[in-house]
Amino acid sequence: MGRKKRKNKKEESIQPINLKKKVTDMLELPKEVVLNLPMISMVGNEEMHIENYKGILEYDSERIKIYTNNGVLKLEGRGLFLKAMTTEEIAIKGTILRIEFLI
Amino acid sequence: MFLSVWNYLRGYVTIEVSGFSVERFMNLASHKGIYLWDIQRNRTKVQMKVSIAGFRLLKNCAKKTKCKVKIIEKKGWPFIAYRYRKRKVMGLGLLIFFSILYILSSFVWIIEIKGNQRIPTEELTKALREYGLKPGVWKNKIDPANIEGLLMSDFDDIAWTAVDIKGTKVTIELTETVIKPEIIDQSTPCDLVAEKTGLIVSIATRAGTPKVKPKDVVKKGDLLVSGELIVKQDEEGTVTKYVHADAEVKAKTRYEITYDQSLSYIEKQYTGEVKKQYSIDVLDKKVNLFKPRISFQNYDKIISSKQLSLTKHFVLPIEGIVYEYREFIPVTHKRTLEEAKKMAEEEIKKRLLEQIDPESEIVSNDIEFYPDGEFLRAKAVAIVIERIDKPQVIDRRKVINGTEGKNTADTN
Repeated sequence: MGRKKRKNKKEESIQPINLKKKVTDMLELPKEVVLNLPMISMVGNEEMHIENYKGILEYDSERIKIYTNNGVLKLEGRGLFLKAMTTEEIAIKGTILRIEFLI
Repeated sequence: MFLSVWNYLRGYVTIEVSGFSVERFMNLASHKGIYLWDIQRNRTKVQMKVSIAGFRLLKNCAKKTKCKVKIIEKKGWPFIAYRYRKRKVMGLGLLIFFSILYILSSFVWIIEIKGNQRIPTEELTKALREYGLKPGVWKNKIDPANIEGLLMSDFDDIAWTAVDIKGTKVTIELTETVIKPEIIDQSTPCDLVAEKTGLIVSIATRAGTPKVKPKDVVKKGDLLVSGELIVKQDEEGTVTKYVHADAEVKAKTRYEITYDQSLSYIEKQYTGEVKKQYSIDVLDKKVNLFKPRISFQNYDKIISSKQLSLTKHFVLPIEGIVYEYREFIPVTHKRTLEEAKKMAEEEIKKRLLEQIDPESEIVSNDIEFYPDGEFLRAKAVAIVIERIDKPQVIDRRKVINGTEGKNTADTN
């Protein structure tokens, strides 16, 4: 039931997002601010900073799932751990082997 | 690095969270603005670090998510301060320690003078003392610019000086002026006179009238080359011109050196007996810590001292001194005549070279030895060829009385 509800919400909000996206593309505005998209930066494969995240769904030393506005970001690797966690940013350390977006 | 120091000062707690959904707990915490770091998973439990202020807010989150929070470690300054909160004397001691450190560091303890070669350091220290700069003076009272000015005005020899206060040490750097050599102006008419008594070997005149020839014997102060130049001489009278005499006059001069070489010498044979005395020097006042009785008849006293300093620039007025007494037995040895002769010869040669100009040439050096009891007397006669000319300004009146005046006094 919950899933269905979420899907409905998404469908409803698709229209305004597309419009917003077009405007930001046209005006070359920073997308992570206007569209509230995650800003991901990596240092090699051992450090990752994610700004604008929404929450953690799963946390393990081999797999981390983070919920963002772009969907779920799935990280796989070895010896992963959260270096720091604040309201705006999350820092992950360890050996990152795979990054996947589950939309 | 800085973050961990900051976290330590603020104080933090390592907690272990266990429960059904630790992720939810973490999300809730971060939404509330609680900073979590070093989050590590241990199977079902998660370890993380949180600041003291954050930890208080966590209790609410734990209740909501039904997670259990266990404190594993408390770290940081606030916990240490809490532990020692009742030890008032210790706090007082700390306060006294830091205030003494602060007070001591606001005085000048060491004055270093750098760069003086001709001006004795004692004289400078005396002058500085008069200006109010001496060990033990409050740093704020010192005005470096003022001291620089006073030094410059009181010592003509100082060309430049800088007073630098660093920690408890005042460094005074100075540069002395270069002495102007006494040069007789090339246009001033002058004669050349003999500086030493000797036999003229050669004379090369560039300007002036030579008054001596080789193989002449001259005494000290004799005229060698006159600056008086007779230009014309006939019935009408003589026309004289005064020039700056210039010549290279070389002469054989004689040096006599006598030297007494002792035939015996004393060698110190250390017995290995060493006694040590320690003392502490605080503000030029000595405090003896341990003074042994010294029963040695003959001993060497070796003093080594070390200034106590916290850093390079923060020198404390405390000096530790170690006196070491080493006993020895004096043993008299005899030198053979040959050895003594050789030593005397070397000594005479050294002394002769000190007296003469490095460009001079030693023609001969005859040494005669006379044994005299405990000593060997050496008499040396050295013949040296050297320049003996020395300029001497011609009496002014004489120049003016001459037929030609000042305007002719050029060499060309």
